[in-house]
Amino acid sequence: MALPVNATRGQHVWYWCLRVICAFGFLFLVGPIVVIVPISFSSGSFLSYPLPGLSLRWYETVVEPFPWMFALENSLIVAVATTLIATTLGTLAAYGLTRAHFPGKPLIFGLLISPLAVPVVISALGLYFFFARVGLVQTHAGLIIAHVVLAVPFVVITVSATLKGFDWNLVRAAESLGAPPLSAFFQVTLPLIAPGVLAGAVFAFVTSLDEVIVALFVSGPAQITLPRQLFTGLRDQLDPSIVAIATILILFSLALLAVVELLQWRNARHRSRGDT
Amino acid sequence: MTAAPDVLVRFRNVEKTYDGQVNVVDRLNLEIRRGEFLTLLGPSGSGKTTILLMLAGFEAVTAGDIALNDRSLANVPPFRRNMGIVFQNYALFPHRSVFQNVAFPLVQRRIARTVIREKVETALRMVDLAGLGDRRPHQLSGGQQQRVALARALVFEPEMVLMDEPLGALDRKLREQMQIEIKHLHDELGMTVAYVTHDQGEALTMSDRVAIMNDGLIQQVGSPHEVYEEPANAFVAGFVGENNGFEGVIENTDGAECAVRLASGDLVRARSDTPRARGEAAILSLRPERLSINPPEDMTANRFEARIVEVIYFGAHNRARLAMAGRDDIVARVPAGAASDTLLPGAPVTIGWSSEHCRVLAPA
Amino acid sequence: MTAPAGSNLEVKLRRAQRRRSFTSFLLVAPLLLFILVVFAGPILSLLYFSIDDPKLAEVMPRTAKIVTAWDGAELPGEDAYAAVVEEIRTGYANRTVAAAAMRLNYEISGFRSMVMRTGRKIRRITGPPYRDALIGLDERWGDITYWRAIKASAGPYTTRYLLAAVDLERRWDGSVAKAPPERTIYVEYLQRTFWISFWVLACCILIGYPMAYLIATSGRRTSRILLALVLLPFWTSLLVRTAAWVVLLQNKGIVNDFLLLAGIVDEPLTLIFNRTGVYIAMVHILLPFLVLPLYAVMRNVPPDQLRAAASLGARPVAAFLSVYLPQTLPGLGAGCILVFILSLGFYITPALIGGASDQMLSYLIAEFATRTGNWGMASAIAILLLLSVAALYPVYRGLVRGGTGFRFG
Repeated sequence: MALPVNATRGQHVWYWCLRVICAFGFLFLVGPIVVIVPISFSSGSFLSYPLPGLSLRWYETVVEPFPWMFALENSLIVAVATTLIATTLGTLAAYGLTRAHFPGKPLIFGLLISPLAVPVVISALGLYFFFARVGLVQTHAGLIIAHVVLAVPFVVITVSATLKGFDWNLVRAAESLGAPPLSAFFQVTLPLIAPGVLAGAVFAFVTSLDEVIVALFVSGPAQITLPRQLFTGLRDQLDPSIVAIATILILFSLALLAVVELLQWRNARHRSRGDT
Repeated sequence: MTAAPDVLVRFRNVEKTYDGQVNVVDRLNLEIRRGEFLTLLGPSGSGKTTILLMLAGFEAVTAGDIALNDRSLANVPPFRRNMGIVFQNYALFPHRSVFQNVAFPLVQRRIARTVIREKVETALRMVDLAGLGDRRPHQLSGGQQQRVALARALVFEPEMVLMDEPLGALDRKLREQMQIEIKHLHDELGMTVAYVTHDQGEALTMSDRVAIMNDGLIQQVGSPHEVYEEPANAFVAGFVGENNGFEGVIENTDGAECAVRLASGDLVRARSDTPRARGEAAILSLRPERLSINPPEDMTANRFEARIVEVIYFGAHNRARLAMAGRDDIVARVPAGAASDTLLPGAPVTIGWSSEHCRVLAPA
Repeated sequence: MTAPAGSNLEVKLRRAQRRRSFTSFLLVAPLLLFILVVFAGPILSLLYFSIDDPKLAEVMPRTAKIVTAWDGAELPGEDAYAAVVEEIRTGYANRTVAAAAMRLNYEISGFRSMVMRTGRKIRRITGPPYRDALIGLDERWGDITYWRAIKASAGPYTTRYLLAAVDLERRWDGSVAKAPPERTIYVEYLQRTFWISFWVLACCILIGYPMAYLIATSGRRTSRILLALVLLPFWTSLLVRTAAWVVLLQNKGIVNDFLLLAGIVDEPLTLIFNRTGVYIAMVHILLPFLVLPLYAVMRNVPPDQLRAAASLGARPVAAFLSVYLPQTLPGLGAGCILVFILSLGFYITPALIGGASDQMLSYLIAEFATRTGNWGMASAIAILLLLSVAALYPVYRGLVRGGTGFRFG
């Protein structure tokens, strides 16, 4: 966005208006996330500036087994299981959907990614009723199944997108060189679509780790996850330990952002290599 | 053909359709002999790649049968067919090194590691890539990638090698060089090659036999010399090499020689390999290099007055466009130095050809 | 190309294609089955739960049968009273009557305690006439409106939840009318949900369009950095972002501190537990969803286009309106509908940052499902919300297909 060399007065005004709006927008997006980080190192218990002093006392609260470490453990168990299941099922389905034509393919694809389109509260309600009848309410298994439903569309989408640029002649080459289909899949297809699969896995992991609505519906005290504990904390008693846990999660999302950017960059590089 | 040649692959009444309506390959009966270099030549969409894909096992045969060593391939999956394939874009595995790419078929066959190393190195030496085994495919030039693909297709000593327009992505100079190298490899290793291309020059240079395809049908199978000098029909004559075509009607026949009356009224003497009847419609084919400008006195069969329309300089020869018999698109190829100074646009000339080199073909 | 020899060929061809399709389908099948059983089935079952009404008929089958046959014009006969006495007696003894009482309470509040009190005293009724005995225990048993409530609850299916979700009710004579004012809260929630979503979207467009334009027209390095600034909140946990706003917006929070310090206000503004806070936090969460698809489209608009328009004599505003804006419309449309659909379903943010009058439809669903256990009402409102979203979805699909493909991430 640059100002033309011989801009009119109106253009000048307009240009600066836009700049101010943009500056406000970026500040608005990132400011809150950045501003709360120092508070987590406060030695006082007020959530405001100026800080009375620096300390790690709130991080000491966070590493106490209860409630945060317990919630973290639950979250990790559920997120890891969700990621494994969603990535496997999603990759298989995306591969099957791209490999051949069969009737109703667009419909099936739409169905597989439909959990993205339905408001989470509604999915949570349906899952809650279903789990109530089959006895999965307040179990880890129930929470994992619910999270797989919400996470699997991301895997299907990313893997399908990667497979769209995939050169199927490579599979033919592998087979003509003596590799049976399964072996060709593991030795050629999978390594080449790995960036897409990994990106899908990261999405699945984040989806599970950040999910709270379904957890509120279907989990019990034994399955309290990190977001659910945050929700309770924010509603009931607000103290800087929440900010400390938030800071840790912000660092985590920064790391994930870096990973995904790297994966997409690698994927793009791979693809540009393919057509020499 | 008296004694049956040593047939490796036999297509019997093979048909292929993708939509159930149109056959992209139709009534295909073709034999590939052991050790020969057979080229499938045709315009794009003529079905030649489909034939290769069926032979490799990637496309199912809709009807008919393909046999390798007299055994049907119908239920043999691609990975058990033992055919080396060089793909148009090489299909090298981008996540594996050159060495791993070439070793791939050997690993699949569970060959001992030391043997693999030895064989891969031999194969890489054979295609002049010794020492590049650690590179990744994208670190190689197009020609080098082509050689890796070749080494990979040859290293496991397959029954035969299939090549689908393997030189299409290379520039002209490299393409010509690779043509010769592939031909040499074929001669040295004595392997059977089925080669697909739309480039008629490539087909003529490299092949033992050429099968010319159009609209899913084989038009002619023969040696490069046969398909060039004795085209079976007007399509082959037009597709292989340059050609002057004339339409006319058979006026009379005398053994192999016929007299054909053109629409312009001119009478042309030509040769026919098959008997023709009076009044039959015919197409005449005359190669530009058989057409002489200012022909010698003894060439009496076909002599016509013509006018030069334009002359294009090609270095080793000149290409002259002539007007005669009511047309202005007759092409003659004149060797450099052969009185090329006299070829001036607008100049009247006498042209001629022997009836031996002008062939009567059935309309395609 | 010639036609195949016979139809026999077509059959063979189709068989071969089917085989390949089948193996591919087998790969899709596990996930498809999973989604059908765990997701699609339960969502469809909401339709059923919104009309399912089995409670009374389960606990008091005879009563249900008698009142279903009753015309509702005058008090029912002795057989109905006899059935009620007997079924409350057994139901109270084996503690099943509470569920039926709960259901009756949806019709008339206070009915639950009335049934439970009747149950406690039911021992006093030893024989007929049951009508007088029951009215003797509680005179409301002589009030026809309570009997009509029993008739309305007799099941096994009911339209009351679906009607209630749009502030309607069915009268005893079968006519549909507006519900009494103390129950007409649901349309207000629906309106509020759309109203909040609309303003959130408006703010997102106002801030997001210039931002996307700036990212798309900046140099490579700058645009990467700016894009990362949009992606960081996009990747940050929703709870963390909401937590940040809770911290920032308090009366003694950072925003108020800053405003006081800068002398913009004299006393702290109330920014949390009201609509302002909800708007701020929701715009913050949804802004990336507008900026990213817009950016994807704007990146593909060649910069020469505006120059070309200018060289052809268009003033800047005209050039923007006639050249730039139309080319970005698919991305803008897709982003708008994405933001709108997502905000329709918001629950967490209003629950934590909003006050009682800032809750949206999702809040009602959660309340009915988890706090009061009213599955029928929860399902009916879920269907209302689902229909609102579904109505917008075809528009989104159309826009995305028309524009350049936008991917999350």
